[in-house]
Amino acid sequence: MSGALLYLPYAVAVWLFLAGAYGLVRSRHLVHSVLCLAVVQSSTYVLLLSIGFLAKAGAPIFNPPQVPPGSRSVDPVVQALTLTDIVVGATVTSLLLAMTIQIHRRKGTVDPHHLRLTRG
Amino acid sequence: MNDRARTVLFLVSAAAVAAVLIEGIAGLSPFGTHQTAYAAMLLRVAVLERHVLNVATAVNFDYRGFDTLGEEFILFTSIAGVLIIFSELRGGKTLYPEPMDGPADRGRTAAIRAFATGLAAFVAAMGMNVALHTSITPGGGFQGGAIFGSAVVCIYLGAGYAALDRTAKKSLLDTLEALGAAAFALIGVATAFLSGAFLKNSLPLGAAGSIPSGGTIFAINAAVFVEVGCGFALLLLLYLHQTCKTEEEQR
Amino acid sequence: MTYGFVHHLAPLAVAVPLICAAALMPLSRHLPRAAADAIATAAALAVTAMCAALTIASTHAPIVYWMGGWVPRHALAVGIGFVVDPIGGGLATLAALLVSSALVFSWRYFDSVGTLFHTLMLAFLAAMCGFALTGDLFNLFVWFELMGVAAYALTAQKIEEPEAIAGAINFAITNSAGAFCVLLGIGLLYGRTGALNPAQIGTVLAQRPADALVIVALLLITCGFFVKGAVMPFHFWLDDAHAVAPTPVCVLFSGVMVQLGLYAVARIYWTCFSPALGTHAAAVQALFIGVGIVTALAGASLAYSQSHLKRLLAFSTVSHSGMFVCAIALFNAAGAAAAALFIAAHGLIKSSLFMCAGIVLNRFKSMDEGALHGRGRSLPVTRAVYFAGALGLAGLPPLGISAAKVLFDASFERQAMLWIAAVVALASAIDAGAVLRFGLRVFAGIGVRAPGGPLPQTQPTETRSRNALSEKLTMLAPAIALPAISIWLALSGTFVHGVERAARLFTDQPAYAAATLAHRVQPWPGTAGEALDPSAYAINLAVCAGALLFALAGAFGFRLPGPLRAPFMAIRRLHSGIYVDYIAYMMFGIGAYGVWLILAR
Repeated sequence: MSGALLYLPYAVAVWLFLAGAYGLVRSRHLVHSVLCLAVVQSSTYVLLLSIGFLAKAGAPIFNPPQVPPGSRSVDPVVQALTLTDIVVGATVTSLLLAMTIQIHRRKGTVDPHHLRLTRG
Repeated sequence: MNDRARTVLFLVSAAAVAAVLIEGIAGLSPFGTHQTAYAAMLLRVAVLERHVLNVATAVNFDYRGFDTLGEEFILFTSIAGVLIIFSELRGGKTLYPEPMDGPADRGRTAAIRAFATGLAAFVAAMGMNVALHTSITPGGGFQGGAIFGSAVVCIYLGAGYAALDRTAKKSLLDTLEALGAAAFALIGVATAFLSGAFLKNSLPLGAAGSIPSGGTIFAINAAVFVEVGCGFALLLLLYLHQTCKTEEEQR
Repeated sequence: MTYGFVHHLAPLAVAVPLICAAALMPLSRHLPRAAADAIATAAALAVTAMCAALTIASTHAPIVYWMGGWVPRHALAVGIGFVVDPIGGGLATLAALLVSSALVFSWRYFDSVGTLFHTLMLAFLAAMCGFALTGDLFNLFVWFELMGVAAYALTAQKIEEPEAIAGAINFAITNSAGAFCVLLGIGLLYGRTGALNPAQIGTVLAQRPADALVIVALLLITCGFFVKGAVMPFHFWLDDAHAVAPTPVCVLFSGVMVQLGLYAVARIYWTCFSPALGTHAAAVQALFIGVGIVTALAGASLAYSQSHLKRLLAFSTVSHSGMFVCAIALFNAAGAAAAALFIAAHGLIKSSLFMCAGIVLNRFKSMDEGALHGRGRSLPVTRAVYFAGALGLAGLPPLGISAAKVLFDASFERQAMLWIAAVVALASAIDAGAVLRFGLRVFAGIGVRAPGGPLPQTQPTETRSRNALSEKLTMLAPAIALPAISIWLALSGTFVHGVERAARLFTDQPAYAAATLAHRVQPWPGTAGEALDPSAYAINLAVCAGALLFALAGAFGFRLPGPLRAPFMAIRRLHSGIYVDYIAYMMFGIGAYGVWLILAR
């Protein structure tokens, strides 16, 4: 790998962020919006894990005697951060989907354009 | 804003943001070439200090255990939020909706029910297995709990919602979930006063490579498994109940 | 490292409300409402006491607490640290105080509420305390998300009203997007410095001049926290959330949650970026001041155009966020002191105003200026508290904001930027004028009746007439107590000097780094403060007079002249109520800020 390709994973993170936001802006369905938000969040996973990657390294799980402690491993800290991030994402998604179901029940629609709040 | 104006505004802004962000990420080290000092140090010392072979677990439950406490309570709070959104207010108390038969409860044969029950038992055991091996494999309390919670779906598919509701009592699930969450925080309080710092690992560490290793890592992991397992089961129960309500309304 | 009892209060302030929240959830089915109220309020009051003790203890030396006993090795942070200084501790105390007051207010405010409300409030409190006390960037993100989840669920409380859920969805989507921006920024900083501890990050970043990566990290973190902090153009979610959330929840949003976002920006700026930025700081300062002024003026004007009291007060909060950003933008201790005192006083007074709004809503089931015209005359005590609060927002002495404004004006005068203080004074006048106008029409019946529907019919219920007096007492007591506390704070020279000293410590990055990483916890140096100049209060009185003028003009039907009306209404229409627009505006904001910061360095 050479040159700009070495920065491709980070660029993927930027792309995911913008693509997810584009989906949100063009959205016509609440469930679609929730999933676009998940795409935006996945940009954080990609960025964190790409930063932690080390070439020709294994997972940070040691298994003596084949993989003795101290072998070349990728970053365990960003993996822990990503685990936390995933939980956060799952919980916000579940809350938003519950709200979506309830809104559908009360108003019969899940199109955000028909859910405008009345102005004061 | 009309659709066209909004899309144009977004595309122009996104182009600017993309340019700015690319400029920023160009300052990072190239992919795969750099390991931070923090990571290098933890990889060097974690096994010795905590007798745990999975360093990510050590980071999650010990070195940065306080983050995990917050994360578990985010799960807890969002389940409380979903409970409120799906609840019905009767007599001033938030109560669970009444159970009812689901859409496809009719027409299941005994063979399907038996198979689904067996599958559910297997999935639950699998979840517990993953959670127990937290120190030595890429498992952990959260992962195991998520698998355990999905046993609920197996029972629903095989036996229907009413049977599921009889098996998995919501009140028991939410009590266990709260207990798991509180246990994590209480471990922290106990270690603060008994061993000098909040969430300080002061239990016997065990032998690296065995299941009960890591001291408080193991205990916290168990609490997280209980919380996440019961929490996900409860969440799935609440969502599956909504399918019954929708069917009821469509009739 | 041995920790004394006071040190242990730092994690306990977070763990205690979390444990109580967990305990209340399964008990919710068995406990009577009064018991749940009592437990929750007791827990909140206990946390208030803990945070107050921590704040007082931290005035001598910063309290540094490493979770899990993981102390730094060779200036490398291994674990998560809590670093309590008086400003962080003070914000946590404010949060706990407001949660206690909101819980007391809700005793009689809600006819019936599930006890999950208490669980969510305590989780919200724990998150705010963790957010204010922490000394680790990812930990900050975790508490930020817990604050968010609890807030989204609390906003959607009134599940029978689809508008409440729609408002909660707008809130959730925009704030989550903001949180992900923050996390991207944290990731970039971790990639460059290999640390999540702000002191360590600051030390590493200072080793070479700031390049594009540092600027972009600053951009992402600032924009993400500006979403929470309701700074333009990231503020659109705020009035939707306030319009539909129950009153005790609005108290917390406007009183302390929004300000915590601004606190995070200031804290991260000082600990991570200030040593490294060098010449770039001027571009950042120009951005913050520009954004602050626009937010202050536009927020005040939008507040003035509202006829729904909660939305009016929400835009007032937006306007004040702009003012806080202006003060923080001075990037010196005087500005930080002014911002801190202003945030504290504003939190107390705005909460009281929201409680008055809640009393009116409870009684008349409406927040519309036209429908309520003159009705407020039957609530004499509420009327007095409301007018005190409205004039307090304008800076009437001896209420808290007056002292804050004096500090604020003085800090700009010293930098020869008095014009900014003048613009902020104008914004304050318009803003307080809006609140006063509502009060004049509703509580005094003065002026022309605003266009609006009739009052909703309220059936007098037996419980209402029987409990009418007690209902008002438990709702009025916190509404009166909070501004009273602000009076005490403003008049107390010790407190004002304490804030000035705390701000000097807040802006002292080398001392922060030494305390956290090198175990060199030295007592803060004591320095004498200057007394506030009494003649400076004259400006406050002028602002009050201006507010009164705006209020009377509005009450008698003043409308904007033609050429100004069209663009103003266009800006008002931007607040469309759907999140798809808000995300587009947010992207515009990030792009505009980013282009400025990259080009102007």
